[in-house]
Amino acid sequence: MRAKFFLAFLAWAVCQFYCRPAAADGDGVDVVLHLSSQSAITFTSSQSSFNLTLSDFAAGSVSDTAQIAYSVTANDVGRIQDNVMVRMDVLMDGIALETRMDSFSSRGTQAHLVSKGSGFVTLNTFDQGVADKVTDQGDGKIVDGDMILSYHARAMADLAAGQHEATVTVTFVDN
Amino acid sequence: MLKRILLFLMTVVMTLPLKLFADADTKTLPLTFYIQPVTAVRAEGAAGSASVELGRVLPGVDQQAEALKVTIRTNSEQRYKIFHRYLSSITSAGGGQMPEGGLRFMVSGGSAGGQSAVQSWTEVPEGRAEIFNSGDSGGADSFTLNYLVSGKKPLEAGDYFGQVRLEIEQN
Repeated sequence: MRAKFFLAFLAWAVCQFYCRPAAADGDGVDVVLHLSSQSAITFTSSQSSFNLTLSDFAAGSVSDTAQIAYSVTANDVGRIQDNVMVRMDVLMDGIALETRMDSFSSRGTQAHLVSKGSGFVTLNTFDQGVADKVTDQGDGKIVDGDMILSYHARAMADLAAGQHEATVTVTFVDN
Repeated sequence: MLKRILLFLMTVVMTLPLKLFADADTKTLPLTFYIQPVTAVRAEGAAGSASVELGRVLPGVDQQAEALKVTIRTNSEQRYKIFHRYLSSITSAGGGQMPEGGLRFMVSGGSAGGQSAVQSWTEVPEGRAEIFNSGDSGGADSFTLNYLVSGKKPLEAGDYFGQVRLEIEQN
């Protein structure tokens, strides 16, 4: 008798766990979220053009300095050197255009840019690096901030009065 | 001798109680059915499964995900609430993490009188958050849960996965 009672109790207890309707377990539902973040670079300049004035025509004279702000947001920056490249379309006789990254103000926490060397770089018709990446946190693939590039012109010879035009191209490279 | 044996057998057969072959006996057993009170929640994305495609996200561009339809089935008249919580945060295989405030959500009102507890775009909290209240007498209902990925904070490139749980709590 005791054995029968025990077996009946056991059957009832097992049923409480395993024989309930499936929906009775439905006190919640799990949902998977998926997104794909696209590799992207947003690189903008605060100005579309700038002027430099040489107040003296003698060789060695240096013009005033133009500071141009650039904003960069990139999310897949694997490259750690020469992330910012600058070049000009034509070389001007007797005039050298020089540039340097002055500052980088970061909006993110993963990485920032630093000037490549301390001095000005003389521009040419091919790309030259002016800034490198420094990782601050994680793999540093997000670079988000504002950068200032300074430009000035240097007279390499005595110059005749006049006006010269050139186009400067600045490129941000992520990989 | 054989005659005696046959006579004895005939006597035995004739004296057997006829009840064994005729008549009927009836037993009545009381039977009780128990139907448990059940309240279950189901979620269905556009693909028909419990998943949400948040889309292809670009830095600087807010991306609204496909809607998640949430259905509550119940056979009780108890009031209930639906809660939202992360089971696992949204991360990429490369270790990229959704920045704080990167995901927002909004919940519609119920088709059968339930009320949204998140009526405008709200940052999805890390912990448990109440998102829906049933009508006064409970009952089946359905609503839509929408997600929005903010493009304000750049997200490292890659595929990201996370998991949330929608829980029912009866009052």
